[in-house]
This record gives sequence, C-alpha cells and structure tokens, in this order.
Amino acid sequence: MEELNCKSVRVNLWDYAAQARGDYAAQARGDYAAGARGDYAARAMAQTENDAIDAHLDACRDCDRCLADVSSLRTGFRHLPVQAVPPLLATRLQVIASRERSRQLLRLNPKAWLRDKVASAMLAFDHFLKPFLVPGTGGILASCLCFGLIAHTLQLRPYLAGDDDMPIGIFTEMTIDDVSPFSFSGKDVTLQVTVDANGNVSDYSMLQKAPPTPEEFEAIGSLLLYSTFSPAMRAGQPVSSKRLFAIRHFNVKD
Amino acid sequence: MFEVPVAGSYSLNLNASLTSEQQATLEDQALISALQRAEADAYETLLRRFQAPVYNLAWRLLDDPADAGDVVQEVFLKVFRNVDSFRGDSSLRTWIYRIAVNESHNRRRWLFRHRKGETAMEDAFPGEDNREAPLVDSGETPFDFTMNHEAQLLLEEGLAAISPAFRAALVLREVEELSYEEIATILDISMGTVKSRIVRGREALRRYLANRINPAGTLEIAPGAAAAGDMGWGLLK
Repeated sequence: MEELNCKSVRVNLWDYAAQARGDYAAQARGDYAAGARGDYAARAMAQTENDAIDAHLDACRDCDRCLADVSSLRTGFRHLPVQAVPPLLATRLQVIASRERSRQLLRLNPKAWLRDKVASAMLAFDHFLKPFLVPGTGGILASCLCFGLIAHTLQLRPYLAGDDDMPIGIFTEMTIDDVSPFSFSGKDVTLQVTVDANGNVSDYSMLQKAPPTPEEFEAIGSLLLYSTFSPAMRAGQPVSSKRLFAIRHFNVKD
Repeated sequence: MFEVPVAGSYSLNLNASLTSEQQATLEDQALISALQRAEADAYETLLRRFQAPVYNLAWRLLDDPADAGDVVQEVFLKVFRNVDSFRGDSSLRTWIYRIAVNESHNRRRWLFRHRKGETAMEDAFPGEDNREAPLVDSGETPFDFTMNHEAQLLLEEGLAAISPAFRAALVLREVEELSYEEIATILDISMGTVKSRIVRGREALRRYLANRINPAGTLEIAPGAAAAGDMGWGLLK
C-alpha cells in the first residue's frame, strides 16, 4: 500500500470524511425524488486510497485533528438553514409559469396564435387612437372653425392666364412725371423711348412706316428733353428700360 | 413493467430493472416532454421540484434574498422559454443549476457596477428573514441551539467572504452535493479546475473560520456528536 504524505491526505480529507460518515447514503441509494441529490457517494474514493488514508491518520495526529475539523465543517454544511421561498416569490413564479404556458400553447396552435396576434393588433390600434385620434379630431375641427371666422377677410385673387397684372413687387415700368411745355405740331407718332436708371432719356426711335423728317425728329427730341421720367424699378432698384409712348393731337374748338 | 405517476395527468412507464439514475433520467424526459406540450401539471411539478433549490443556490451565491428572488424569476423564465431547445445532454437539474449559476454571476456583475455603496434595508433587521429553521432536535438544549445557530451564521459568513468562483464550486459540492462532473458542466469548466476551486475554496473557508474563531491559533470547530448526535456541532475554544 502506497504511503501518503500529509498534503495529499488533506486534499482528500473532505471526500474521506463524507464517505466515512455516510453522509450521502440516501443519495447513494438513488433516493432521487426525495432529495434530488447527485451521486456524491457513488463516486467515492477507491478502497486502496481509503485504506492508505486510514493508515496515515492512525499515525499522524495533525491530520487526524484536521479530519475532525473537516468533519465539523461538513456537519455544518449539512445543517445550514434551508431558506424557504417567500410567498410573494412563489406567487410570482406561478404567474410566470401560467404566462409562459399560455405562450407555449399559442406556439403549439397556429390558429390560436393568429387570433392572439389579431387581438393584440386591435388592442394596439385602440390604444393608438386614444392618445392621437381624439386630440387630432378636435384640432382639425378647431382649425376649420377658426378658418371660417377669418375667411371673409382674406382677399384671394385667382391667377388667370393672359392676365395683364404686373407683379409690382418685382418690376415697375418707368413713367412720365411731367410732359414738356413745348408743343409738338407734327402728326401722331408712336415712340420707343429708352430711359436709364437716372431717369434720363438715353435713346428714342419713331415707330412708323415713313421715316421722320429732320424737323419732326428734332421736335420730338425737344419734347423728350424737357419731359421728366421716373426710371423703371426692379426689386427696388432703378434700372434702364424701354417703353412705347403714343403722341396724339387733340383739336379743341374755341 | 409498472407505471409510475409522475405528476398529475402524465405518467411514466418504468421497467423495474432500471437503476435509480436511469429512472431519474426518464422522469426528466417525461417532465420535459410534458413542458413542451404545455401541460399545466408539468409546470407545477417543475416549480415544486426546483424553486426551493434554485432559490437557496442563488441566495448562497449572492447572499441577498431580494437578489436571489430576482434571479429565481429569471431562471424559470429562461427555463420555460427554452425548454423546447433542451437537448438532454445533461440532467434537467444540471441544466437548471447552470442557468441559475450564470444568472447569479450576471446579477453579481450588475450589482458590482450599479450598486456600489448602497445598503439594503433588509440588513437593518437581522433575523426577520424567511429562513426556515433547520431540522429541529427536540433534545437540543438552549445552549446547543444557540451555539449551533452561531456556527451556522459563522459558516454562512465564511461562505460569503470567499471568492465568488470558489464559493460557487464549494456550494455546489458541499451544500447541493453535486458530483464533480455535474459541477464542471454547470460552471462550464474542466474537471481539474473544479477540483482545484473546491480545494482552494475549502482552504480559504478553513482559514477564514480559523481566524474568526481563534485568531491566534487554528480552526477548532469540532462536532459535539457525543452530546447531541449528528446535530451537535459547536465551536470549541
């Protein structure tokens, strides 16, 4: 029989103590339902190893004393208090079990699963309506009421194609402020006048089939020279522009 | 052949020649099958068999009843939800204990990160917990009762003081009385590591208790078997 030293004996003392005291005899018999214990003692040490430890303990007082300590601790472990499951926890576990069983049943039955999903979707829709649809409907009705109250004060002009309306906010034509005091004795003419950003006439031409005579051209130049213009405006800034003017004669009878 | 009523509506036919271990395996399989079929009795049986052991295991590993309760709920939630994927490579108990140990480990890590410096209100009233009294020996004297109670508290204190890794192995071995193979499966470590942790855990516990009982000397916890049978163990100075 192999002799053991103290170190190797003490490593195995716990299992030796368990086997010697028969702590797990019930488990070794396979009393599974009673304690649901493992096969602690079933895997006990070999007999030769057991005998070697016996021999060592007979000779070594320190190890024998250590065995007493180990046996004491093992007894302590065996009699540690068993904590009872609190009633509240037990109830929660029952609830968990019930809920999980329902889930499992739903998994096993596709029709029931589908019904459950539809019911869940409807419930979610109902829950969605409560916080959103009621306030939303109220908001829309309130908006309609307020719009109806102010609708008659609004000036709405529909845009029609071909309308000669000018977007005055963007561009304004040049205008004649004062007409020259000198009269023009020629025939009726139509002029195309170019006015620069400072309101000065920079060019003009006569739109008629027959070319004007030099006298007519000079008389019209004098007329334009002594007239004052306001330049055209684009985006609030004066710009150069062209415009047509018609000169007509009126005969006033005395 | 004979029929063994396992729980409620389902039963199990067992051959009389089967060993207890084989019977337990078949019982587990029957229970798993019943759970997969969502039989109400199976859920009851599972809770009845495992809620107390899992709760005690979680309590020993976390040393807090509230945390243990949370862990137990998580454990059974996972068991119920994953019962379909249980392959039966290990016993049902080993599987559930493994989940419990992992959940306790996760819980401890979460507590370490989120609850530093907090003090639980339960600690303010020691003794008002839900612990059942150990097996009552009517012949126990008040002195023995007090000494045993002190010794139990000391042992629990020692368990709580050692490293969590050692504590888990030690609790599974000494309190839950599992085999080395089962502990290796539960902790997902090798058999050698299991034995190493158990030996080191025992030594750490022994040293802690030795210092607490007799700081100047060695451990002197000895069973008072002659006085009060197997229940009688106390602290001898």
